[in-house]
Amino acid sequence: MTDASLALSHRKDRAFARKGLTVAAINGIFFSLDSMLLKTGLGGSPFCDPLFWLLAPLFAAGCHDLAAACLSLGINTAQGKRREVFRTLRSKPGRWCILGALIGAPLGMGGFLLALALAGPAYALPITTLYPAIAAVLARVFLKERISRRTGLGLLCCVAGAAVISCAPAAAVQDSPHLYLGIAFAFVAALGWAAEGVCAASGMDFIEPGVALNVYQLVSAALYFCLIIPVAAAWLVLQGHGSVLADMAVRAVHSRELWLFFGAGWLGCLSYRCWYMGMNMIGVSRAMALNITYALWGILFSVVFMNALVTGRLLAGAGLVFCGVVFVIRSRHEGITLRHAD
Amino acid sequence: MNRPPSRTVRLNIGAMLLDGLPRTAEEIRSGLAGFYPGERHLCTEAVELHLQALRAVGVVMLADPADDEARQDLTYVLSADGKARVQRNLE
Repeated sequence: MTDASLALSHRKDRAFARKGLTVAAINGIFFSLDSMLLKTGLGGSPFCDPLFWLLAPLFAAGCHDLAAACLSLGINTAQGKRREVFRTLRSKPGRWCILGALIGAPLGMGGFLLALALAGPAYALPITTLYPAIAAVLARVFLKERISRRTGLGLLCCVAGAAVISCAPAAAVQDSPHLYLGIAFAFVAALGWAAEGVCAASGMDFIEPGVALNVYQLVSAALYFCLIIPVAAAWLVLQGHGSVLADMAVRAVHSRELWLFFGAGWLGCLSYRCWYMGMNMIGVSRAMALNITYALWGILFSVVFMNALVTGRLLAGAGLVFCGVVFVIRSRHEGITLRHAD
Repeated sequence: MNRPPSRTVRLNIGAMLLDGLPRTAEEIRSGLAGFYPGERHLCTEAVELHLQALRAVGVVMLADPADDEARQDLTYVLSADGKARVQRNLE
């Protein structure tokens, strides 16, 4: 290769990797704000009623994905990619994104909600923060992704830091008769989210990230509103809470919280766009490690917007996540190639 | 390229490179423009980004410019693994 073309190639590689790292890092900020809005909405009436412990979060997740899908379609239409979105829905690589949505919604979100209900947040939150580590293993096995020593170390620091931050104090540990089942569901959720990311990354080999995300969101929203939410609602009706459900539906439509879910969906659209671009440009393991920095941003936003107290545990967790991010950003790859060739 | 409208742009870039000839982003864009009439996203910068992404996942690689020194820009070809993956997705 001539010196000029080598220099040009290095320049393009550096710009590509820098852009990938930047969007993956930004993703954590949006993801954190998105989670905060969802949490605020679920804390308000009528969604905070204990009777709706399963239906309310699933409904919120459905509204979130529907709003995100609409904004994504708007952005893609503005960029002239609307036809590419519908072409992708029918294409072979598009099936990976559809599979990601079919895994992510029921296993990821469904498993997480059941883990929260059966084992409590003290177990559910730290276990589900393992998803980037599981995703890295899946990416290594199925996508043959290269994971450098620094990336691996950074990923471990990020996961450990996020687990420390999300660990509930001992007093919050709930005594449940279904504790072990709840813990199993927490692992299923982590596996679901990890598999979702790897499926999407596999599809993105031949699909642009913004388009792949739109396909994922359309399928996920359809799955929530056509299957998951009706099943959860039917379960409530079968338990004899039909009239309460009808009342909840009326109050939900007129509530401020509904708009919080849609707002979260719009933020989620931006967050996921950055995340998908990151996975495509710098690989699943590095993008996942930077995604989990939402825990770090969560501390900052909780202090600024909710006057939360900064404890030693939060500072220790934040320190670990920060060290992990430094390792991930400073990890070097051979050129921009992320995978081992056959 | 029998059924181009059913293929995503990125997959069609791979299909175009199946003949083994090295091409620049601009050459690929002009080759694909007829398949996606009126689609604004098909510009040289976007094709360059597609090629970078395809390179990152090991589907394409840089061609040796010694084969064609007249070109000013980088040229790309399919890798052996990339050729198999493109063919698998076209089936």
